[in-house]
Amino acid sequence: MNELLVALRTNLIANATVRGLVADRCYPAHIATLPNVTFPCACFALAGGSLDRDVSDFGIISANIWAWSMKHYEQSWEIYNAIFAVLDHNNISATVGAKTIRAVLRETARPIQAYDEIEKVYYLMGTWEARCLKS
Amino acid sequence: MYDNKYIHGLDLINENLNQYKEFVKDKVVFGGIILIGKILDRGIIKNINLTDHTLRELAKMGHPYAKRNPQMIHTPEYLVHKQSGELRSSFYSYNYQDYIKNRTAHVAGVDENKAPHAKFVIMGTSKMVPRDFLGGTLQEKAQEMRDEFINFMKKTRFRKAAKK
Repeated sequence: MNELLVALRTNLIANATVRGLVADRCYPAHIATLPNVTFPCACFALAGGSLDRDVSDFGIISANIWAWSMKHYEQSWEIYNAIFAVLDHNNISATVGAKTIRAVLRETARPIQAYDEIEKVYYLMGTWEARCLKS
Repeated sequence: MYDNKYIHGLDLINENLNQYKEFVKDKVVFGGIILIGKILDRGIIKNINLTDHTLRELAKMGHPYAKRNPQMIHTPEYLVHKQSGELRSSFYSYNYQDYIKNRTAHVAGVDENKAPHAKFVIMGTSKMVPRDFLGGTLQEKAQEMRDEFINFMKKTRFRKAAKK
């Protein structure tokens, strides 16, 4: 479901509020796997899911979304809330190659927050579900 | 126009149906939740008790969960090695019935007071990849739990009908 990652990134950085907070730093991978990251930023990664037994182009995919800030939790929440406004119960779509993916997302668990003492970073992680259809 | 008084035994049928509904809600669904909750609990405990690498071996491998050298050493990615046993002992689960909201649920989680690092294992940090063993196991076991719940409901219905 690489197309879903493309759709998420495309739709997030197309939003003026999200772009105002993190510029184009919406990464389709967890931060620990990325080199030279600049804060604040947002990350998202797929966390499994299942395809329909009969129509394999339809799938329900889980995703985690992180909002990172070096300043304070408030900034992390601002980023997360901006992402929430773009994605929650909204349709997103993207075309990758010959395939177009359409997805409806909803938050399944409110974010948990943590402070990384070593890097001195404040971050949140919310859990999401995407209902996707490829065509 | 239909009228209740012309359908003999309707009150009894209604009473039976209501009793059956209450029985299903209170006993059967809750029994099913307990059953599938056990499947989930066993899965989570298994997934946080990995013993195929010792701490020393993981260090020799260059700390495979760290940013400087991320490697996939097992599938699925969310498995957690047993070290001190803190995470295992912080695991808890319970079943509950909420009569006000008419809801039955199985709750599974980790107690942050017993294992403060659990949150960082699940969410990851800027230097460590995340391993959401709770969400991951739920996804892994979802189909099995669904099938088991349906089987349980079917069996219970047949048994109830057979008694009548």
